[in-house]
Amino acid sequence: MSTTSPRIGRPAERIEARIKVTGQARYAADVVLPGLAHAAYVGSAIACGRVLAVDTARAEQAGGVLLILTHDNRGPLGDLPNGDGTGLTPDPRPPLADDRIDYRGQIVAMVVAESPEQAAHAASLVEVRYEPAPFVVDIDDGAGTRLSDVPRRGDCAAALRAAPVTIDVLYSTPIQHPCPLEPHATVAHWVDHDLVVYDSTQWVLGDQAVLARAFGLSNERVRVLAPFVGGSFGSKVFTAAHTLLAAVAARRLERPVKSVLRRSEVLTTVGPRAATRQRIQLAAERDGRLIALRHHTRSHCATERDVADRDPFYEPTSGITRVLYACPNYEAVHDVVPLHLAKPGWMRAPGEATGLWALEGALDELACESGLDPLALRMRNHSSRDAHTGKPYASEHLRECYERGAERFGWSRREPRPRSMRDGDAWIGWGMATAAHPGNRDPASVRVRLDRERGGVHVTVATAGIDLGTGLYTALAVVVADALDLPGERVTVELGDTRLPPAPMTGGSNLTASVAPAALAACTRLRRRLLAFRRAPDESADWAELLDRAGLGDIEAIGTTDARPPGERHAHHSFGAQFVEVRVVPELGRIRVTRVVGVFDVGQVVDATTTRSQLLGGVLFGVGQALLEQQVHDPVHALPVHADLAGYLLPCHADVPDIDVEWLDAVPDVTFNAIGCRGAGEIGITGVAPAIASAVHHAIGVRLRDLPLTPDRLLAALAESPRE
Amino acid sequence: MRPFTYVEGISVADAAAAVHAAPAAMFLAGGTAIVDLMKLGVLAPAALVDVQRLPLGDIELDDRRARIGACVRNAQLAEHPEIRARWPVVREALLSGMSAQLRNMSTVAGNILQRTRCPYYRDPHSACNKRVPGSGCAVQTGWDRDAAVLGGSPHCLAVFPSDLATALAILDAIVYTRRGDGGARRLPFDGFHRLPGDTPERDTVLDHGELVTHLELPDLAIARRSHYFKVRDRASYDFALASAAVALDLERGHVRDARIALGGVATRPWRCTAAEQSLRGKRAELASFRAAADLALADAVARTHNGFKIELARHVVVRALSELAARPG
Amino acid sequence: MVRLSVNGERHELDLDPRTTLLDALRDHLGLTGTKKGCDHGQCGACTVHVDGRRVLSCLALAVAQQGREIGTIEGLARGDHLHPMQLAFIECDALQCGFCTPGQIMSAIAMLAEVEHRRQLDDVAIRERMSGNLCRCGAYPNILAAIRRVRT
Ligand SMILES: Cc1cc2nc3c(=O)[nH]c(=O)nc-3n(C[C@H](O)[C@H](O)[C@H](O)COP(=O)(O)OP(=O)(O)OC[C@H]3O[C@@H](n4cnc5c(N)ncnc54)[C@H](O)[C@@H]3O)c2cc1C
Ligand code: SF4
Ligand code: FES
Ligand code: FES
Repeated sequence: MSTTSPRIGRPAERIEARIKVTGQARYAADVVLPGLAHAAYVGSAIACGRVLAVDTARAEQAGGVLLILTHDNRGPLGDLPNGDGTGLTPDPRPPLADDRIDYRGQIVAMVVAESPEQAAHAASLVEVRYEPAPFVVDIDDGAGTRLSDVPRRGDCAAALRAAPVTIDVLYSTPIQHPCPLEPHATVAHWVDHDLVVYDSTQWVLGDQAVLARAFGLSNERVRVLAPFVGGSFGSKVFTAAHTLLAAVAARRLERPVKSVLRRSEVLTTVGPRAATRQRIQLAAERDGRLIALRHHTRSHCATERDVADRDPFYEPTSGITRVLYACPNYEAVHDVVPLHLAKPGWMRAPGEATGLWALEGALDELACESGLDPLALRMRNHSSRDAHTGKPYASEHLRECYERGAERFGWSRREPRPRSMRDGDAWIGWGMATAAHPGNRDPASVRVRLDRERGGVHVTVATAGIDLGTGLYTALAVVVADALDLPGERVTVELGDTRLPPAPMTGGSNLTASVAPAALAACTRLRRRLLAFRRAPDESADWAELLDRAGLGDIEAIGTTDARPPGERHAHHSFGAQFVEVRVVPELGRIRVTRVVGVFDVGQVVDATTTRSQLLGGVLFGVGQALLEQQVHDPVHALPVHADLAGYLLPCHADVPDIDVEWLDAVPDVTFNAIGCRGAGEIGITGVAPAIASAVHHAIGVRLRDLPLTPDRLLAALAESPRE
Repeated sequence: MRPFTYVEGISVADAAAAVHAAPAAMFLAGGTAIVDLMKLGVLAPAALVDVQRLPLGDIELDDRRARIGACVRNAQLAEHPEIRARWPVVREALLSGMSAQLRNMSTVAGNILQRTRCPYYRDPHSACNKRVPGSGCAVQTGWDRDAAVLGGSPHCLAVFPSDLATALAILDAIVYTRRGDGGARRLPFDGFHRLPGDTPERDTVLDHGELVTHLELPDLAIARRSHYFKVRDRASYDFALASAAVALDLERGHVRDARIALGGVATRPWRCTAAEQSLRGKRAELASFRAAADLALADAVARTHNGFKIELARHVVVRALSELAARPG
Repeated sequence: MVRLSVNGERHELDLDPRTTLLDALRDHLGLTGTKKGCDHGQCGACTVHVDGRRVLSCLALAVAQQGREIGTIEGLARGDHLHPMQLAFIECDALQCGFCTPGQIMSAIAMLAEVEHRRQLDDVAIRERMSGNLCRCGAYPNILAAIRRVRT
């Protein structure tokens, strides 16, 4: 498809916006069924140990209680799939499997009652006796285990020894949480021994696979629906414990059961972004050219058993640091530190958001050390191929992003000296960083169906993929309307249902790149079949007319996107350049971001409206990552200190800077897929935090290496810094 | 939430008597503090007596004072033009806290009677003397970034979070109450909130069933030049890391009188009389303000993670005074 | 029996005194447009109008709302005619996942009604006044644009 298509890349109206602004969009927790019962949970009060006894007597007496599940009476559940690509659970051990406690808040009992109030109250009456055991909840207190797979090229150690300029710094990121605004919710309902689940998920097929295995059913007998999901950011990939329990309870009660996690349960039981401690060692020539990069990451994982049983989760920080810059010698080491916390998971731009915090920070330090402009340093180390595999990028325009971003921001007016700009009580600083995210694409299929209607045709596009607010509804409508040359009103999109053609989980910014080309392929097939009924090759295509001629009331085709073949010749990657202005009032510990400019190469943009929103949202995710968000666990009592939205601080309206996002036009990655799109869901976050820290350094000459950059951290750094 | 009965208060006397008579009854005003804590299982009243429809919703003003009904909404108080003119610190304190929605719901009395945000207080599994007397204080060995640096005791270090109360502390405010047994009290705001000592479960001197009916702000010349300055992690919708309510009476560049109270760092609204004293007769300039700020924090005690609050609060005091002194007057 | 007047309609409900206005709307009246993001007054997703003022329905007990007029997202449109704020949200793409959206819209409408001189509301003032409505998707810049559009 050429980029001159009438609709591709233009701003469309988000097609589901109307039902969202009228309150008609049905999210999982909005589903009401006759006879619905409500669940509440009892979470472990200890971080490690055993449950000795669960006394449910008082709870059972409470009004409206229908069922209480504990590990004593939960009943059998089959083995859950994990790692085989069909579905994922946070813990291979199903919920309420035994008496073992691995983290505070772990579900130890489920109460189901007639009303949510009754369920919550009864849950508070369940008495649990524990045998506590010692625990570790702070990554700095735990011992690390080295992972065996060490990506390396060249000889880092030798290069580090010999280099004229070296940097050796420690950067850290705290536990942060995807924390979508919609709490995780499930309604489970058995209909004639088949299971129907409305779930707040990123992956209906993953849910289906897990639930089918858990209950010993064939996949067809489990239907999962998620037409609307209130954000996810990685946290709804796994089939949650409460989803399984809702299905167990619904079967036991022969009634539908609704289970909505409380915000505190979301924040303590749904896996967060792992904490990291990252050591970056750089070796460079005096002109800034990198000679060596060594990246040592410690990140936390679940308990020791997670390490022993199978692949532990680790924050993949080196995924990006190994490919980004031209550098002959590279080595990455990962240690995992088991903690008594819910198993970490993915959060928007896993690896990139954390890895670039460290790498881009270290580069900013190298720039200062070498007396180079941070942007010039990036340019000098630019690589037009994947620096690790050596594969050339099929389509790569990072230099252009740097240049346009710098121009839009006014970077050339930057006086390199820290403390060079002041406005009233505030120091002003300018910083920048590279943004990057790999192009991902997975097998997907989409059905496009044409129905003959009065006055023309109507098109229905359907796939099991999910729109998390990411714009998939709109992107598919745009692609299909464009391919069939129909007005947008004639297109309906159906998503988030296991009965629809299979699609991958929404994750890794993959979905548009996987599904949109499949939709295009389906349209191409339909066109071909219908165009056969033209009377002359130059006759214009009127689908209604052609359907009539074919004697058909409707016609449909399925289009697919294949798996990426092994041994692709090219690499596919999105890039961007992000520039930030901050105002710092040092004595108040105050850092405010006032301006962010980002220019991105994300391949061909399918829909400009939702792409812009994705990029803006990504930037704000970065602002939260940089300034506000952290989950601390009291190392003595294991209390999750930030287990609500007054403690786990998300950016609010007043934190929002002026944001200018732009993408390069006409840069389709045509060997990646037929449309040339790569997806823009995550890249927006990736350079923000390091650019902010770079700007803070420029403002006041103080280097901050631990996220988030809170007032206490800034004050502490100032106290240590010789400048103030 | 535990089941409870809901009673709509009919008159001030009845409402007070109703709570007085039932040990596990509580007053309900805007509900933004109490419903939150009931959901957490921190409070479990057997009965709620709703005071919102009692005739306590008006602000009456004359030359000598403002008489503010206990059930006046915080938004209503903040928007009142005469409050804004005569006691600007009240408005600024209110607008620096909560959100517009919460200010629309919550009442003046509810605000000064809100409980601490200490995470251990809010978690029923944790040891907390304020929630369960005698159970211990988890903060002493736990996460103390949010803990008080002033007014703490070995039994409790919880910050009292109200912004409004910090402002009231410099205004010679008076709390009027009606007791469950029919009596009435007039309580100077200065002594209204208690230090935790060894009974941190009691935040104020109110007795069970004692209903706050009004707050009184006496007319105070110095209050016309008053100001609230607050620092928080997030740019809005967040509690104070440190805040200061200040008032200045200036004459030809010199301080005739000053008022200073700290919020976000102490176990109760924290009036700094020594610091105020130090400013009298001094030039209204940075050096005097710095000296006053040092005095205000002189007794502060840092723990593991909250030491920054001392430094921060100093700067907050200096900043609040400097901004105020620079105001045309 | 609890009497609630919602979007101009009167309802008599048999409610547990513990039921919040939010749960009464969602579970008893089927008005699920109002969302529960935190249930503790910390996100704004549950914002509704009570006697024209914006409040958080998760911290309001339903029994305490008798005799008041409650307005929800479902009551804004007149048939197919959307409220100008709803239209502006669509036009400015002031939403992504849509979960915070009903609360943002209810809050924004009440916010404009709170100020006498709307035109004087600059961006900083709008952002501050809207800060009680969190949006994890980060639709904030477009929400601001939508409000600006309706303000004038
Ligand atoms: C997310 C969030 C953020 C907040 N941020 C801030 C902030 O930044 N700054 C700040 O200062 N506050 C903040 N608050 C707290 C808020 O100010 C209080 O919740 C509110 O003021 C309480 O008022 P209310 O009328 O709702 O009280 P209620 O919840 O109804 O009552 C609170 C307490 O006072 C008692 N009570 C109420 N009225 C009377 C009376 N007349 N006589 C005797 N006892 C009475 C009740 O029994 C109860 O114990 C925040 C709250 C929330 C939920
Ligand atoms: S500081 Fe006070 S409120 Fe916090 S745990 Fe200790 S006793 Fe409880
Ligand atoms: S649900 Fe009411 S404020 Fe979050
Ligand atoms: S649109 Fe998703 S939270 Fe606001």
